Amino acid sequence: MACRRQSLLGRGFLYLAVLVLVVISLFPLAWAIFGSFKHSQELYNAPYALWPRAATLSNYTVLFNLSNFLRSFANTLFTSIAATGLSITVACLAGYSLTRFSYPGSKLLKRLILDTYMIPSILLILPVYSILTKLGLRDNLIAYTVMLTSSTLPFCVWLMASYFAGVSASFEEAAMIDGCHRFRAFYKVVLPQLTPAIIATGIQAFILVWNDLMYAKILLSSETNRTLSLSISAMFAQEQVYPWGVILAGTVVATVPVLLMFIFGVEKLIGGWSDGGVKE
Amino acid sequence: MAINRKHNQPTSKLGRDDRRLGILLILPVVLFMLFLVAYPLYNLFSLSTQNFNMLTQKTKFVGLLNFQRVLAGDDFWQSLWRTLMYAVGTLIPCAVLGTLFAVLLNKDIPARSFVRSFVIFPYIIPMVVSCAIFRYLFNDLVGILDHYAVCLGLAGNTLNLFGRTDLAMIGVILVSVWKYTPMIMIAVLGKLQTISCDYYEAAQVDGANQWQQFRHITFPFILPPLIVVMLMRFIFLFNKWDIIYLLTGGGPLNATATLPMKLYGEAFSSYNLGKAAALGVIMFVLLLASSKFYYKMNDIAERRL
Repeated sequence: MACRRQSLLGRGFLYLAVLVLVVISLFPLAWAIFGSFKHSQELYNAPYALWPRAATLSNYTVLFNLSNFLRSFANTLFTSIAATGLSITVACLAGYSLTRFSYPGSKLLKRLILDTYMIPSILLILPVYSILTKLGLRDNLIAYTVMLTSSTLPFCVWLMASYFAGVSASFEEAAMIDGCHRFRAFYKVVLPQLTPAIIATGIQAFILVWNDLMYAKILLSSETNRTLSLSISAMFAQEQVYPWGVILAGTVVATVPVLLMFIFGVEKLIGGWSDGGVKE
Repeated sequence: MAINRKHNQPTSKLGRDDRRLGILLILPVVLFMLFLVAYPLYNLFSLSTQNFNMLTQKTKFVGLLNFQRVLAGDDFWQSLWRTLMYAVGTLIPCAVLGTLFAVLLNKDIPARSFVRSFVIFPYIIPMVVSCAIFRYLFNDLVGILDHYAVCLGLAGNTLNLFGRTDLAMIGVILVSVWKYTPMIMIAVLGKLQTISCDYYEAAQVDGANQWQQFRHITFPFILPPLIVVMLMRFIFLFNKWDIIYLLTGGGPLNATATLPMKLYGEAFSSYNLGKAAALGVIMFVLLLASSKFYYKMNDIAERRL
C-alpha cells in the first residue's frame, strides 16, 4: 500500500535507490550471460564491458562437447522432477490427513514435521553416508532422489496443510453424501481446487532440490551420476583447465530451468514467501 | 464423479473407516521422516560414541571420548567463533538492507511487480551458479573487482578477496548478504502491506516527518516478524555449508572454516567419523537451544498481532 505522495526530490531519490537495487540484484547474472558469449581474450583483459564486442557461441560448443555435461543436466532434471513429484504426492496425502481427520497424535505429528524443517542437512550427511554405504545404495540416483525429499517434505507438508485448511469441507461432504468414497472425493473434488497451490509448492521444492550440492557431493561419486552442481563446481575447482567462458556458459544453462519456473510462478511464490520461513 | 459406491453405509462404520484412512494417508510422510531424518539422527548420536579404525575396519565404543577430543581442541572454539561471525555478520546487513529495500518497494514506483520479481533473483539463482559467478568476478587474476580495486589504488597488485586470510570471511559474507537479503525483504514487505494508511495520515496531520513516521509507526509494526525471520535465518546461516564450500572451501588457512565446514572436513577428508559425529551432536544441541528461543519469540510475536 503506498500511502504518501512523494515530493519531486524524494521521488528522484527513490527511483535512484530502486534502480541501484535492481542493478545489484541483476548484475552478476547479466554479467555471466553476456560473458558466456565472449572470447577468452575479452573475458580476461581490461577494458571490461557488459556487452560482448565480438559475440561467439564457442563457449557453448565446448561446453556441450564436454563428455558429461549434458548427462549431468539430464541427471539433475530427472532427480529434481522425481524428488518434487514424490514430495508433492506425499505432502498432499499428509496435508489432507492432518487437516481433515482427527486421530491420536495428529497434533504432535504436525508439530514434529514442522520441527524437522529446522534440522539442517549438514547434521544428517554423515549418518546418511554411512547408512547408505552399508546398504550398498551410494552412488545411486534413486537413493539420492529419495534423500532429497528430506529437505523438501517438511515445508511441502506444512504448506499443503495450510492450503487444505483453506478449502471448505462442504464439497467433499456433498460428494460423500452422493455416495462417493472419501478418497475419491479427495482426489476428484478437493485436489482440483488446489492445483495452483500445488504448482506453487512444487516450484519451491523444485528450486530447492535443483540447488542441492551437499547430498550430491557425498552420495554420488561416478562421472555418469554427476549432477549439475557437481560438474560446475568441479569445473571451477580447476579453473586452469576450464576457461571461465565455458564455466559461465554452464552457469547460464544451469539457471535456465529455475528461471523458467520462477517466471511461471513468481506471484504465487512471493505471496507464499511473505511468512519468511523458506529454508536455505 | 462416480456415485453409487458404499451406498447407505451406517455412520459408525464410516467413522471408523475415516480414522483408518486418516492414518493411512499420514503414513508415507511418517515413514519418510523416520528413515530420512529420525534414524540418521539416532545414528549420529551412536556414531559419536564410537571410534572407527580404518585398518581393522572395526568400531569400538569409546563413551564420551570424542566429545572430549572435540571440546579440548582450540579449533572447535575458533570455528564456533567464525560461525557466529559469519552468521551475525551476514544477518545484520541483511536485516538493515532488507528493511530499507522493503520500505522503498512498498512505495508507489513504476512497474512495481516487475521490480519485485527482479530483486529476488539472487535467491532464485542456483547456489553453484552464484558462487561460480562471484568467484569469477572476485578472481585475483581476471576478476573485474580486482581490476578496479587496483585501478582505484585500493589494493597493490591484486585484491584477491577469497585468497587472503584477513579478507576471505568478508568476501563470503558479501556474497551471502547479496543472496539472502531478498528473503528478509520479502518477509518485511508482506508485513508492510498490512499497515493501514490511517496511521500515516494521522501522523502527517500531527506534523511528523518521514523518519518519525518510520520510527514510530512502521518500525514497531515490522519488528516482531523481523525478529522471528532473523532468528530462523540465523539457524540456517549457522549451519550453512555450500556457499562457504564453493567460495573458499574453508580456507585460506581455515579463515572461513565454520563448524559445518569443520564437520565436513573431519568426516570426509580426515575420516574421523567419531569426532565428526560428536561435533554434529554438539551442533544439534546448539540447534535445539536456538529453536527453543525461536519458538518462544514466535509465540510472543503472534500474541502481539
